[in-house]
Amino acid sequence: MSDASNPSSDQTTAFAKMWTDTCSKLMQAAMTFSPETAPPELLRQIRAGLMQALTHSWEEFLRSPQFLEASKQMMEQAVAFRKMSADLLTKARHATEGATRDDVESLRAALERVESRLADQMEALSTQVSQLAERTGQFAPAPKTAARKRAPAKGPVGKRRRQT
Amino acid sequence: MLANQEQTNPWVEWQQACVMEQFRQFRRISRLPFLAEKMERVKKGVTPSEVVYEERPLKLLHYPTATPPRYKTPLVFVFALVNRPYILDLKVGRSVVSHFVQAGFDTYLIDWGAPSEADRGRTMSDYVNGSLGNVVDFVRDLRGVPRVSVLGYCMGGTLSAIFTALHPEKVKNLMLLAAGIDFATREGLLNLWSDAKYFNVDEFVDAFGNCPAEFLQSSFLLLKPVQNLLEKPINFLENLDNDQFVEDFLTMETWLNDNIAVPGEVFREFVKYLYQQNLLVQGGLPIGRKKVNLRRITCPVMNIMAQEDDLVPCAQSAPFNDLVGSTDRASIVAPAGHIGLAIGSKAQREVWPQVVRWLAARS
Repeated sequence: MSDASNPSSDQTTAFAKMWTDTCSKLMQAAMTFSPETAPPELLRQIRAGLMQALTHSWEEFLRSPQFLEASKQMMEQAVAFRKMSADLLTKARHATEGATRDDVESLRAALERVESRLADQMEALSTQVSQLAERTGQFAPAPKTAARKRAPAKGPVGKRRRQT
Repeated sequence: MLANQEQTNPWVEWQQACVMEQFRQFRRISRLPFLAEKMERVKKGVTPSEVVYEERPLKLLHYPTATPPRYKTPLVFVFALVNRPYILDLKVGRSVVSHFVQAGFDTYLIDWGAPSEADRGRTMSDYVNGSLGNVVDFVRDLRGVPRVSVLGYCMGGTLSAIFTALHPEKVKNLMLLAAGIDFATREGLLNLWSDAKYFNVDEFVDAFGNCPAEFLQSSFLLLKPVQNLLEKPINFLENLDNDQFVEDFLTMETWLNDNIAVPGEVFREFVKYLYQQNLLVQGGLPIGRKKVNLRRITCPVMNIMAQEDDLVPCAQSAPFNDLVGSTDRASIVAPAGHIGLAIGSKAQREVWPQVVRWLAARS
């Protein structure tokens, strides 16, 4: 099997290339300054050159498909680990008859479904009332958006004032 | 004669420089014990404010003034959900808020607060139609005005644009500060990293719930690893004996490390619908039961962008003015970075007075 088809080999090669490029750019940066320059200024110039070279190499590396692939794998591992630990905790809590995050989540999802159904029905009612009002001409049409708004209750105005 | 030789001899010059550097180093190290004390003195917001409205975890800050506001239309700052908003009021002389307060605007700032695990299910609709809508309604009722001016920063700018498109009757002027609108560009690293091919946001949110602050912080650090992890600490060490530098550095670092988690569903929607599918510019972004159409924005708009922004590149913000239905459109491109656009000395000197004048003429 060739190295070209092996993703981990590609990643290693890309990482090695990044460091090789960095080293060569660092050498170039260090060699471009005259020894006649005043010492502190010379050191500052060399450092600025080195940082620039490093920045350039890292920017290239962070955009490379190899880095993207590596970060994807890392993320998948982190997610898998998180799921595994969550499963363990769920089992432990169920064993002790405690409520787990999944229980809370399913409760929340159920409430959301109820809320959504209620909002739909209220919207339908609102539309019907508007249509009736228009037909009879007795009432002003109700605002259609009133039922759609999912907003928590407003806090008390000026009740909690705090100077910072 | 000897003196002349010493002056021209590079070897002696190097020796002198090394000795001087040693002395400076001692002086810097001697300042280290006072760092903790200085860190405790860092303020989070400098302009006097009061909380006028709360909706857990949101707080609406009002900046009261001794004299009545000069302009009738109140101004509401909408900050991003990923950091604390005091970057807009960081220090005396580096405060965006104070520009508007001093000019006589009735100014408000939304502090979204840190979401708890219970907030993981909150969607963009809950933030835009819910919390932001409530804040705008509250300010309109409080001041007895039909419309307010809105200034949104970064993700807050995106939310502000969405809000204005959905509720154009409530916004008189819209200002966006480094706001992501068109996510098609691959100029920024975040756009590249969040590509659907490499980042499965559904699995991430299902596993983690809220997007952890540490994840966001490390992603931001990695945008400029050499600057953030090498140059910045070196600069800090070199300037430990410069009190002003240390104070600025600590203030800035306090804010940079004061990240907050993003509610899971908001993170999912933001990444999937904006970064991955770029639905906002296509008129297909679902918010609640509606789709956002930027053409519905007809109020005056000001789009402020940073030329060297690594978080929200100009290419991501610039198309906004062509996508709205407004005829009164302006934009400013400042030679600054994402944060420098708010607190940079040049931005404070040139950009903000210009923005204040623009808003004053329309308030």
